[in-house]
Amino acid sequence: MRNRALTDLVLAGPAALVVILFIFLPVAVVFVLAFTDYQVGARSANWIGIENFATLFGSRQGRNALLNTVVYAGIVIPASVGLGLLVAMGLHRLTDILPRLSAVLRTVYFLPVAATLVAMAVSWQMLLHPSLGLINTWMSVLGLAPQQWLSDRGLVLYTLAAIGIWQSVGYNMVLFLAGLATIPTALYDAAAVDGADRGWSRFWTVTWPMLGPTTLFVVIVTAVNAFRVFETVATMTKGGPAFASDTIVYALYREGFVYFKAGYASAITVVFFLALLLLTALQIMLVERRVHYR
Amino acid sequence: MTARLSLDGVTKRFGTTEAVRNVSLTLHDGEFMALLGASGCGKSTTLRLLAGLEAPSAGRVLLNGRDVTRDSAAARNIALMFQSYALYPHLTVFQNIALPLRMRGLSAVQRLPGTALVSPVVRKRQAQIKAQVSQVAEMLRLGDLLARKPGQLSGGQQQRVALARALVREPSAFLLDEPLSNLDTQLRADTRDEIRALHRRTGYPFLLVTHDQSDALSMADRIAVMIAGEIVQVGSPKEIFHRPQSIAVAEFIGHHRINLLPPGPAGRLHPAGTRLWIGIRPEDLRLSPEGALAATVESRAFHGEETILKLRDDAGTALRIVLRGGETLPNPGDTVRLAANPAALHGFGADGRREDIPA
Amino acid sequence: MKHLLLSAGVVLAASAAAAETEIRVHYAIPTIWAETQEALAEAFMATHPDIKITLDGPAEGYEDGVQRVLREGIAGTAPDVAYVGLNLWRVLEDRGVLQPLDDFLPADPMAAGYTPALLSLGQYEGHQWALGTSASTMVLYVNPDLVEQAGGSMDDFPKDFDGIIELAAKIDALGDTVEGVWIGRHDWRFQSLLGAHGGRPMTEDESDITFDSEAGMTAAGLYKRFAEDAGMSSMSENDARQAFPAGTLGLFFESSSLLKRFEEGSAGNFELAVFGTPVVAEENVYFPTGGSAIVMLTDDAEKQAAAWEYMTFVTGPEGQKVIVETTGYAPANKIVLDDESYLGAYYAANPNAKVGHAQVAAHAGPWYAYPGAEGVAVTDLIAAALVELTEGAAVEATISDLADTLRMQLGMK
Repeated sequence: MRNRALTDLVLAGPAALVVILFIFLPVAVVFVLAFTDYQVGARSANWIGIENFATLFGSRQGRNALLNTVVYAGIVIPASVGLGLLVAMGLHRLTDILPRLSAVLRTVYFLPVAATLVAMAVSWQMLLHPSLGLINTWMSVLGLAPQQWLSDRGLVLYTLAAIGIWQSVGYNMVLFLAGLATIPTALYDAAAVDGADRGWSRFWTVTWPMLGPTTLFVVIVTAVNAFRVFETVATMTKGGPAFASDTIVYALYREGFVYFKAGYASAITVVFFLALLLLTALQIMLVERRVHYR
Repeated sequence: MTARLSLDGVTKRFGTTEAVRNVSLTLHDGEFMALLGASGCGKSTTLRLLAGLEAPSAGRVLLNGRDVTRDSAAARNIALMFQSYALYPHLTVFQNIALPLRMRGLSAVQRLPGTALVSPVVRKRQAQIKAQVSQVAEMLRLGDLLARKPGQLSGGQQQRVALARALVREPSAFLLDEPLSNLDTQLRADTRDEIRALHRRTGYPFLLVTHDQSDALSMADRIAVMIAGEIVQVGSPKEIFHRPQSIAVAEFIGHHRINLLPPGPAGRLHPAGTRLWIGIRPEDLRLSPEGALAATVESRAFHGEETILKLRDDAGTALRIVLRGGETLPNPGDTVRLAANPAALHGFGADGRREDIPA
Repeated sequence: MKHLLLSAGVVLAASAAAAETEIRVHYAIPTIWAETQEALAEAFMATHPDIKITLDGPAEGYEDGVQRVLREGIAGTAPDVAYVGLNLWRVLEDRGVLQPLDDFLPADPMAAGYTPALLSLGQYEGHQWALGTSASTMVLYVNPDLVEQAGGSMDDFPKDFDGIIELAAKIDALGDTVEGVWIGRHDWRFQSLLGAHGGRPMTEDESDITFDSEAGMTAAGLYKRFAEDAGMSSMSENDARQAFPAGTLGLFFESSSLLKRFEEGSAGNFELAVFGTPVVAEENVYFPTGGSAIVMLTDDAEKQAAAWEYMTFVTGPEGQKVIVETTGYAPANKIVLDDESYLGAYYAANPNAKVGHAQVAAHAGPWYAYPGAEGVAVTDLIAAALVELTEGAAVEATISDLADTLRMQLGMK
């Protein structure tokens, strides 16, 4: 018996040790640093209690980053889930009629997901350039006023949100396509016989409820990614102009890696970590029971 | 009897394959008909054509004498019970059964949640729906299960919900797609009776699609046999069993595969055998020392109430015979003689069609 | 036995030192510096065979670089010397990882080409912590084609901000996609305008903010005037840096270090011209100097000696010649500017470069880094305030508020 326990320990031990050393320990360190004024490279730090958290929620800059993130997520989550579903349904039907075209479009929609964002950011910057960019050129052709897409304080967050949507629609589409493929055709037949044979009634009777588990997953993934928005901000706007596109993770980066304020950055990390944990748990608790139909 | 629902020269092609070829079929008022065929023969496609889930490539679909070929499934008001039951997993039993009524009786706006609070019309309509659902649920003994989700029901209960959903809206015809195939033996027998009873009680024309001949033979007033996309024979169960119109039907019907003796030298079983294929069911052959046909026993299989012998006659034709009761059984290797009642013989011409055997 | 081993170790160490001392060098921004660093190391080792220069893998930018040096400092693996941004060595000094250079400096720094202005770039609290290795100040890049299209004259180019604003407005009116003038809404650009007006961002002892002076208000007011009177666009720095070589931006206040890039970008399109930033005040004028500095981290006396040799070389005329020729930055040594034998040919071929370099020689001054933990963070607040000015905020109120915010954040009273 003791022999077996020893074997188990030998088998599970090293992996557990690695997890503790490289995941739990650093996380614990971050949690501790969050209550200090530690600066990168400093020899000492002071215990300052919840001051870092007070700054995050109390200062104009902290609240601005939080609000920007919420606005961004509030646009990106519904739009990219909705568009992903719409595109998936379109392509799902197109597969029966024009399978080749459907496959090509699928790839096209998936490209933004596969492409590295930093490289794409360069293309976006060129497209969105106020005087040289293609988008403003088209705007003037259409008789619309050119816009400062990335440097107008009132517009920049929405531009980033649009790019965020562009980036995640393809991924959501693939997930929804997989979900659509698992819906039994008999249910559509049943709905047709029962009178829900087209458009909305068919969608509400069969497609939407049957996609429940897929949708839950897609929403969680999209939400986590939206709240984590960073690369587009870092590569295209650096949070500017005047913090108009400052988001929580970018603020984290800024405070920790540009301002060297490790303590404050740790506090942001802790808040962000707990918020995501809470959000995911909430979504699962609230929705899980209602989408798996048990 | 007036025709309720019929196919008129209907062909259905998927790409280059013809799933259904020039089928004409009529379901009359109040009758219980079975569409019998092996899997893949096109019977499910026929059912979908009748229901309006597929549009025919050629031919017409008639409902009460009216051409409904282009009408949607919902417009035809034909009930359909699916093999998989196709219940909506997110809706309760009550909501499942009520769905066709809500789709029919309420507009898209009226179906929105909360409209009942605002509109007396909706309230009245919902009360009617509730009454109708309760009535059907009562009939199918679902009264206690109305609040459950399909996932919480047994197979038999799910099937009754599927029946209820199909029947609740007083359909012009009721099509059942393999309704018994998912049930175990005991439940199957009960359900047969239940469906028969349901047919008697409601009086709707029923069309049962099945690959199982005992279901068809035991339940239906009339049977249409479908082979390779075509209807090959329509008739009462007795006619189908006792007077198969072709070798194909004869081979398809019956618990044991029919014995077929090719046309050949005279003197076997019946004089007509020189000219015709002779078919004889294994249960109609008997061992008899005076029998006209000699054959060697190749194997013997005991099945409880019956024993099946496999034999080969001197012309090399494989034969099968079913023995019941306490006869002394020959051993493999023995040569036996076989006889049959002339009335039990079926004659088929070279084209496979039935030809009467002169007495 | 122990004794024997110990003495053997000493002998070994001594002989190794005689043969070769290794100096580890950290630098950042390989896109600009990689070739230069290799060339410097090679040239240095050719004349100092007893010292081996090892270049660490470069950091992407100066901020990353400082991060890395700090991390390595904690781990005890810090490099011996490091090139850092002129505005960032103070972060390292604040964390106590730098070695003061006062004892190494020659008795007469002027003779070695280190003018007081140049030395000031690396001084804090009376100590020398860093030596400039490359310098840049803000100059005005001009697209002569657009100036002439707008009816302006290159020969009679405006010498003051009023004239520049007037000209910019005319260029801006040329078309929808043509911009008149652009300047970054950024701490360094603001300090440059401030210096041109004779102002300073802080008092000498860094105990108070002083950019809310009259000079500061005028300098900050330029942002508002550029936007309101000359139609300055809110485009980003990257956008502007693409627009100018593409020929859609007329006047561009930018770092002199970008000359090479703009010349290459605009080649075949137009012949750009460079002017110094207009000097407004009579005295106290300086231009905050960007670029890089070299700092010493090693605390090993022997390595310090070798490191100083290397630092002397790269900040001396030989090293400076290499840096100027390969990066286009202005030199941080007076000898190389005065003695034509070093760069005479270079300036003959690059007349535009001379403008910026002369400005450095005449008005180089420190790029003030705000002290303390919030030092870097407040520069973003300054940038945000400048954005607000271009969007119409009142100058007095915005700059006063900003100054008060900074005083609070930086713990000044």
